[in-house]
Amino acid sequence: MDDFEGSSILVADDDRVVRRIVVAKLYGLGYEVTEVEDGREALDLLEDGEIPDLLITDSNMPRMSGLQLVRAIRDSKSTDLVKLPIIMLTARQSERDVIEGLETGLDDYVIKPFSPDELAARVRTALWRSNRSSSA
Amino acid sequence: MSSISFINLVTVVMALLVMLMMAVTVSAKAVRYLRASWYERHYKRIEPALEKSILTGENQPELLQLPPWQRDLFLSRLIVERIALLRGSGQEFLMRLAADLGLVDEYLKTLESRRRWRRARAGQSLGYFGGERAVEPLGKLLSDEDETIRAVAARALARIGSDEAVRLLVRTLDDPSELTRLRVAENLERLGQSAIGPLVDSLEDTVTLDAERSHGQITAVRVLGNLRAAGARGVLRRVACDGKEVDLRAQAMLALGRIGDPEDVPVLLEGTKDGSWPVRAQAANALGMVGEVSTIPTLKDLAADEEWWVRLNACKALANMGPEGEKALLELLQGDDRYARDRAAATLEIQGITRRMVRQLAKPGKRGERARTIVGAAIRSGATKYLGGLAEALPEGEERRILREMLGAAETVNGRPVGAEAEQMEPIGAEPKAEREDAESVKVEPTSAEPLAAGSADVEPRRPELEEQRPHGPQVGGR
Repeated sequence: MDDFEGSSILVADDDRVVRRIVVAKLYGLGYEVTEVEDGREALDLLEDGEIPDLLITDSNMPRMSGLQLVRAIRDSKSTDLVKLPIIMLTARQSERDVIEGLETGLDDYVIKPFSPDELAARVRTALWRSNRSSSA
Repeated sequence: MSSISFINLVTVVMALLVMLMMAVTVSAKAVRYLRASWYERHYKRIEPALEKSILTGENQPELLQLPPWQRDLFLSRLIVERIALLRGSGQEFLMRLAADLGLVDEYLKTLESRRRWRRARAGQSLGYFGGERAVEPLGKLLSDEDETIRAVAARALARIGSDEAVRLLVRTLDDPSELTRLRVAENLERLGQSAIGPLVDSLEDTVTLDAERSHGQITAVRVLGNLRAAGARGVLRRVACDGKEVDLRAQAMLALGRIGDPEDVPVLLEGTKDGSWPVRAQAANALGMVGEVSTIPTLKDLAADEEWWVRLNACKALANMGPEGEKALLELLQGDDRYARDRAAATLEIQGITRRMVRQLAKPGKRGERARTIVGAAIRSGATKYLGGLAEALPEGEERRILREMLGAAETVNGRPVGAEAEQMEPIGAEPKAEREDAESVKVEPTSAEPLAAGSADVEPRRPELEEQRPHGPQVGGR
């Protein structure tokens, strides 16, 4: 698989500890990581044109939930935003939650408690998939 | 003069008191703030080293050099916070780190502390990183004198989730405290599949059950039902048939219903013949959950049972059986048994079927005819208040006109107002006059176990909100 060192990743989670773990893991792998505390802050950043290579978002966040954020991104007029790979990192693990998330436009779904190594592997796969579809 | 000086004195004292209170409040807030900042400063110092440890899988010297009090006060909290979020190698590493730093040994000792909050905190932390070593000491904590500590121990054992931890939890189902039993049951449900084997084992001696153990076994059966434990069907069938306690048999019926295997229908049908009403009620409930249409005739019979609770569950079960069940309810509504008719009418109302029929009153042909027959039967069963309200809510039109006409005819027969005058009507549970007179001759005496169960129609609640208030056996849930 290609090397994606230097790719930019936006992490949206209201839990400081989760953000710290994810950021430390991804930063250690050479990614450029930006963190925000809720969906609204993430959307503001994206609408200001700061579009990362991948977004990792929680589901339950104040002001704007993860699903609302994903809907806003997928309904956006910007093609870059519409194509943005998104991974949801959430404690919501029922079959219905997963189906709803994937149908809303998620690229992958990771359930908390999570393995940082597994998340890193999923990030790599999502970036690879996105890279392949944009070069095709 | 003296009164003025007294007022001055009081004012000065009041002012001093206010100033003192302000000083205490400000000091308390300052202490809290300083304490939080102190914690924050230590967390910030330790966190990077801990995260580096998780990512590299190696113990960092900064962590190993921490004095014991800092390990206890700061590091253990940071570890617990992260273990709760991680799984796999990250979680395993943190558990190993806690053991290497001596936190596990320290907390195992603290479990014997005289201070309850220290025991609670130690128990909680050991649930996260104590592993198998902590199981036995936590098991002892399950019999702690303090109820909260017992609950903490149960949660901690469920977190560890080893076979021995599950066995200890199952054994605690016999605890005399109901709260402890509930906490243990809750945690066994969290454990899911791994709890099933030990729960089944605990039921093996059900037939020789003594009364002291019945609470534990009833809870075990309930947990198995909530877990939809198909592997426990054998023992549940045995408990349902041979259990000595009424509540135990009833709970086993309910559990079999929750599992929902049609092969258990013969056992459930046997339960409908049980001499104790809670067993019959739960058997009816369970048959509704399984949804086997071949059981409709039995449920129709149960809808005329002498006990109110059995009738209620039988009608609810019929309502869960699709068109066939609906047909059976409509037959009950038009039948001769006033108890069955009454429950059928209430169930049809709750399920929205009566409303649907009202909407079809003006339809031509057989559909309209059927709707008029059913609504007519509902009116005869005494459901005039609900239909009266519906007549008021309907838009002007043919349906409303027909319904008002039908209700008007009933009013003429019974000499009672309907619709807007519904407030002045007789209590909702009351039978139509003609039928009530008729009922006097078949009035059944209430039983001691269920004073409102099978008594006269005058005391029988019909609305769901009234139904909720009805007393019933404490262990027999899931109407």
